[in-house]
Amino acid sequence: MPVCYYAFSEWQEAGLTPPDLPSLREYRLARLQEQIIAHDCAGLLLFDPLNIRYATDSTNMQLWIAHNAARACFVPPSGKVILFDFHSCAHLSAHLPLVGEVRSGASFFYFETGNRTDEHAAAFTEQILALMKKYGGRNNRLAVDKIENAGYAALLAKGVEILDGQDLSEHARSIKNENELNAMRCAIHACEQAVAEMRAAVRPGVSENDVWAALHAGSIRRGGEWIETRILSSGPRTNPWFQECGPRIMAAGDMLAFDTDLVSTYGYCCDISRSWIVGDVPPTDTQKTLYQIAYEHVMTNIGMLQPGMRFDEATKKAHRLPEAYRPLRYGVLAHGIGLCDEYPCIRYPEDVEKHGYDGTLEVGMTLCVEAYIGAEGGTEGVKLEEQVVITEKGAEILSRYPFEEAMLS
Amino acid sequence: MNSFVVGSNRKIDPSRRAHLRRDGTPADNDRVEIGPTGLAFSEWQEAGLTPPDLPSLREYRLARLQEQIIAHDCAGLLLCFFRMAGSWPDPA
Repeated sequence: MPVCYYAFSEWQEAGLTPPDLPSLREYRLARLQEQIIAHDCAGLLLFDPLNIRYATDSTNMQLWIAHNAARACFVPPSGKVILFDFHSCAHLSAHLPLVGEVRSGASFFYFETGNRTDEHAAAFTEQILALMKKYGGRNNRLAVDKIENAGYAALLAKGVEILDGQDLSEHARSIKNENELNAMRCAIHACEQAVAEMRAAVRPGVSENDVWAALHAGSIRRGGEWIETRILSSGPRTNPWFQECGPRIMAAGDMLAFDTDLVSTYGYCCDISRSWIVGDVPPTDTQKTLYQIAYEHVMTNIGMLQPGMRFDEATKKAHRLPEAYRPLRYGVLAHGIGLCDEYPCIRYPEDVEKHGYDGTLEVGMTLCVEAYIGAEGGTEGVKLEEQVVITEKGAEILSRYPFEEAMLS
Repeated sequence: MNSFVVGSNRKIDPSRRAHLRRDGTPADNDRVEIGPTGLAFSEWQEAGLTPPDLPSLREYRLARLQEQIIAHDCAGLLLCFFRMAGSWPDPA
C-alpha cells in the first residue's frame, strides 16, 4: 500500500491552525505598501523571487527565477500589484486577486535576450516609467530590490532616483502577524515530519545522500517546495561545518549533523538543525560534551531575547562560547527567518566590528538561534538550531522536533 | 601513493590512479567535495557511459572564461547573479 501524506491531517492532529491565505496575502502587501509610503516612493520594483512571492503569493519556477531574472513585480503605493511573468504564464496567477494585471517584458539577461538585452531593458523601463507616472505622478523615486545591469543603467539613463528596495522589503517581511505565524508553524511541522522520516532512514551502511533524499521526499509529499542548501554531514565531515552531504557511507557511532534550510508549505522556511548518533550505540563523552555546550548556548540565547533589545545588546548578553569553540563559531548567533533567511543578523562579539549592524528586536520577529560547536582541528562537531518568535514576554519556540536525551544525560 | 597525482588525469600508468574515482576525483568518502554516489557510478557503468574527467573539465571551463576576459580586454570577471540596486553609486 502506498503511504499517503496529508499535511492538513497531520496539522489537525498536532492542534495547529492553518493560515487564512486571503488575509495573509493582504497583510503582506499592506506591509510593503506601508514601506513604500514611508519612503515616499512611486513604487517598489521587485525581481527577487521571494520578494515577488511575499508581494503576490505567486509561484513560478522559483529556483530557476532565482538565477534567471525573468519575472518582476511593480508594487504601487496603493492598489493591486502589476506582475511581469514569464511568457504564457498569466494563468499561474489568475487565482490571486491582489495581482491586478499580468504583463511580460522583465527578461533582459544574456541567455534570454543576447545582444538585444539593452533593447529589452529599455522597453521594460518605459513600462516602469508609465507605472510610476500613473501611481506616483511626478514622484521620481523608485525602490528596486535587485536588477540586472542593463535595467539599472536604463532606469538611471531616464533619470529615475533608485532606492535600495531591500531596505523596504526586508523590514516589511521582518514582522509576522498571528496568521503568518500559523503558516510558519504549519510549515515547520511539515518539515519536522519529514525530519522524522529522515531519522528513520539513518543506519550504518547508508550514505549521507540516502538520508538527505528522505528529507526531500517527505517534504515534497507534504507540499514543501525546495531546500536551499544540502548541509548534512557525518563523522569527520562534521568538522569544520558547512560540508554538504555526499557519498560518505555512515558507520555506527558517527556524529550526523544537519541544517534543514527547507522551504516548506506556503513557501515558509523551516530552518532547524539537529545532531544525531548513527546506529544504536551510546554517544561518547566527547560527543556529549559538544552537544551539551551547543544546547546550553542555544537555550541560553533564546532565554535572553526580549522585544526592544538592541542587536549589540543581544551580542553582549549572549552565552559566551568556550574559547576552544570560538575559531569555528557559526556566522551568526541568530538571524531572521520567514520565506527564507532574512533580516536581521545578530553577530558574535568577534564579528560585530566588521559585520555587525544596528537594529532592535520587535514583537513578531521570527529568528533562528543557532550554534556550531566543534574545535579547530577536531574530528567532530555538533549543530543545533531552533526557530523562535519574539513576543511581549520574550522568545517563544516554534520548532518542536525533540533533542537527544542520550546526549543531554 | 604519491599525493601529487591526486586529481590528475594521467593516461600513462593508470594504476597510479587507483586512489581516484572514475571521474578523476579522490576515492575518499571523507573528502569535502560532494559528487556522485556509488549507485550513480554503477548505473553509468551498466549503461556504458563514461564519467567526465573532472580535473580537465575544470581546467577547460576556466580557460574558456579566461579566453573571453582576454578577448574583451578586462582586468577580471566578477560573477554574481544580480546587481544590487541600492549598493551602487549613482554615476551622475
